[in-house]
Amino acid sequence: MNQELLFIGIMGLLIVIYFIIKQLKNKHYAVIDSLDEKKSQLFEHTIDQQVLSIEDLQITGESEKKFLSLKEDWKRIETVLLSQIENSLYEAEKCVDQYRLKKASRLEKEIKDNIEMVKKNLEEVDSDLQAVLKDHENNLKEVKETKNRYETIRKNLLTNSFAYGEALEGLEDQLTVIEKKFNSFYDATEARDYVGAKNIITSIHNLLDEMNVYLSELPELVNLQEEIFPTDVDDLENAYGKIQQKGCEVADFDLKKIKNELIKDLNDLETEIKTLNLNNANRLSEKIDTKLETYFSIIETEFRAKDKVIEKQTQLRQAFHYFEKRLHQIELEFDRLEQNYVLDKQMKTELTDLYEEIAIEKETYQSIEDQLADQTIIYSLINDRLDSLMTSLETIHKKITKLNENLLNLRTRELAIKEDLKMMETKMRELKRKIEMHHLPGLSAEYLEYFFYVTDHIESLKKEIGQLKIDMKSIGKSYQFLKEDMKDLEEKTEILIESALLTEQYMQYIRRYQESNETVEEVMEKSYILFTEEYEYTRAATLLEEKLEEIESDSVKRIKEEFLAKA
Amino acid sequence: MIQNQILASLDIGTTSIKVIIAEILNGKMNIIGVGSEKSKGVSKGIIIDIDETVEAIKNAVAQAEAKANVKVEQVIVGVPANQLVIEPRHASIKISNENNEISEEHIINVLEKLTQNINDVDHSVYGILPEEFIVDGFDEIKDPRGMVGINLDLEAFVLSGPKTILHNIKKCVERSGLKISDLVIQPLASASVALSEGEKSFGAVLVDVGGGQTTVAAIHDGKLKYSFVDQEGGDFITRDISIVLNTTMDQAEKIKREHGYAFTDLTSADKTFKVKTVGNKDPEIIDEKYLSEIIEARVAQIFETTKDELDTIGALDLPGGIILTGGGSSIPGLTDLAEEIFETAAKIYIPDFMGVRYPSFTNAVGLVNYAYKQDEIQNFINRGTLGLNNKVVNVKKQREQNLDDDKDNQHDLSRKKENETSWFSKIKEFFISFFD
Repeated sequence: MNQELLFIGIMGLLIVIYFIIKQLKNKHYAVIDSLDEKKSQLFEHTIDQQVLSIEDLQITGESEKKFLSLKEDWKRIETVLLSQIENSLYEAEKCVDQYRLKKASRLEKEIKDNIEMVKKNLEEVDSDLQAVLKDHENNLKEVKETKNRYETIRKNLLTNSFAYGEALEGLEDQLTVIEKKFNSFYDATEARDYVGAKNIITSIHNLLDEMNVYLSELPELVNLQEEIFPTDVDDLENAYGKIQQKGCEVADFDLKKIKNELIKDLNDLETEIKTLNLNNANRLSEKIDTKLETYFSIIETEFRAKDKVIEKQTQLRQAFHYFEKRLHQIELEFDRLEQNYVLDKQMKTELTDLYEEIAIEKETYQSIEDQLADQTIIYSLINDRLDSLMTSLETIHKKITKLNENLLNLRTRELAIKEDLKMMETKMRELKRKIEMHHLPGLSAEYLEYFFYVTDHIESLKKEIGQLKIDMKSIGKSYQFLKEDMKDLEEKTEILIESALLTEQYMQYIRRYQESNETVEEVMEKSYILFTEEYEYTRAATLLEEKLEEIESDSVKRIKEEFLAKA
Repeated sequence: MIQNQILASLDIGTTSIKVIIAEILNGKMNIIGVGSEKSKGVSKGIIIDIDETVEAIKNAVAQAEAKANVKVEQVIVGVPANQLVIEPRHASIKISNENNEISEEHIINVLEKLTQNINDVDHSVYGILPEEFIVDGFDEIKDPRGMVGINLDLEAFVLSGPKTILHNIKKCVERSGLKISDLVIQPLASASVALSEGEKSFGAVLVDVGGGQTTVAAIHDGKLKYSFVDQEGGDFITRDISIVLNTTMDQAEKIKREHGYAFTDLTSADKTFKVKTVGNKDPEIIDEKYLSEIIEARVAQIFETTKDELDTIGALDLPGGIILTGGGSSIPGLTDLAEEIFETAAKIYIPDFMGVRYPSFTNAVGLVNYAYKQDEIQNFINRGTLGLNNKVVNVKKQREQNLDDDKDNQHDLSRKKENETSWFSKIKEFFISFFD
């Protein structure tokens, strides 16, 4: 039973395998058939017909060379590649028949790739062959357009020949070259070398493009070379002549040399134009233009310099007059102030120095005036010197202003200090009142001494500043010290009052520990003596502070905070 | 005289209400707490708004208590001398008990007789200052209690004044939660500290320049013989400055304090200061002489009025001269002007106690001083006359109690925590026992 079943099973399996293999084979056959179909389509391609058409045209030269190369390509496809595909198809079919399905699959892929490659090559050859066929037609069309361009350029050259100056000959030569190229084109066309003809047309186009550049740029260059620059050179000569007539001289300006240089440049420009070397011609033209501009600028500067010099002469004469007058006024102010102030030696030196500086500058100016009497003067140089002189005078002016301010400052400072001294007196009275208001038992000798020292200082400074002749430098120093002393006294007073009031607060507070702490009584007694007999309020307060800190650590801080809040 | 105790005084002034807590220790008075609050409900020395005054009293008391660490329960209160009548009176009674011994009851009876016809609808007794008790013709007896006799006579000065003043003071003090331990006429209180024993004995005039009024008192033979109140004080000077210089009251008070002189001769027109005036951006420069003229005008007017009054009783002939005190007396030059006007020697009294070194505190300090120095019979008379119920507070006991309070406060939290713990323990115990 089992054997039967096994047999039936094996049989079944074999049947299944048979059908599967059959199915696979059919599939490969189908693929091979499809590839074979594609191969047949390749053979049906119309290239043969095209090759025959071109051969009928009997083309020569470059066209022929190109055609032959394409024809060779086609032959290689037809004879080698297509037959290779055919062989592979046969091989693949054979493999399927022999159940070598794996190899069949590989061959099918190769065939497929080769078909694709051949198809692509055929398309390229086809396209190139079509281009060879069309070359002739295109050439004919293009040569017509080129001819038109040529005619336009030629016409332009003939009608505007005057605008091209020495370049005309070169341009006409260029036209001759183009005409010769046209002849070559026709020869090539006649010889059915359409590719060669096409190349000639391209070269004609390039020549015509060049011609267009010449025709557009040359007129301006020729104009510059023939008209504008020579006129500018003449104008430069005239301008220089005018300057000389005005009695001016230009520094380092050799007109003859400059003119020769320019003429040489112009000749070079002419040569470059003649040889149609546009790049060099443009460069040279710019160089000549820059040179001319520089020379004109120099002459113009010089031309205007004289007017500026004349204007500055007036300004400087006025400035010297003003400065001398101002210094004289300051000198008078000096004399006047000297009646009331001990003047700083430095200030006097400054005045003398200023007189000297002005004298030196005036001398410089005089030498310039002398130079100006000479007819052949370079005004721009004089103008520069006058500018420098004016700068020096500006510095002197600042010094004079500062000196004047310092003088005026004497009075201003004197008044300010006097006012401040009044304020200080008021402040002293206020401090006295402030202390009195607290009805303290007394004031320490140290404080009183300092208080009276400051009072005396104010008094002595008041006397010093009230004298007929005062030394503001010494007063200023003394005043600064006094200000510091005053500040110090205010601080001392604040501390004194604060300490006294705090002592009273501490004294009231500490009494609560009089019974419970044995040493409190003694501390209170000491502090009280310091307060009422020695007037050492800070020490009195410190003594109680220390004790309170010992008994109740945060009490001092709290009392102080309450005191300050109330103050 | 009271020994070793803590006393508190209350001075209800026009400008400020002051409270002083002092301890009397071994016969020495020490200030241990001071409270001062701006007065709002008082005008010209008289209470016009009870609520405002109560509020200020409470604040001043709280300040003083905080500083002294003492709880104030009763205060010695100053009574202004407005419309005060000082009347010498005589009264006589028969001692009718079995052994003819003079008891406190007899003293009360003689006092009642002395003050007969004084207490009426708008007038009441402020105090009695006994000159002497006479027992059966024996005079100059200070305290007759325990003596034997048939006739008891009393020669005394009876001080009386408007009922309203006293009523309002009592009302304010009570509503502040305090009791009145003593009522003292202010000039008497001030004189107790401002005048030396010699001045009190030979005679002197005390001029208390307050904020709203000036109280003048003539003291002779240690007794208040005459009192007069001029309803002008330091605030009037401030107001004058404010009006004349066109500045605010605060600014006027400041310049009075910092630059003011009451006597023009002491000033110079060269000494100037700046004053911010109302409506002007920049301050004006004022010289001290000008300011002094403003102040002098008002002070001179007060002194002239006072002089006229004092001249009527010849008080200016008293050898002690003039003693100036009060907040308004702080202005420099006041003594010079006083001497010129009163044509007698003048000086200023400033309390010489720690923490109250200002003449504005003379009254408050004087109240304590007067109260602790008055003798037992005077104390008894005051209690009897004014219906007071004062008690003596022992210093040591009070201080120990307060220190204990302090400690209690410090340990408040821990105690609270302990309480919380015990409460928790109780619940815990309850549950344990319940389940047991």
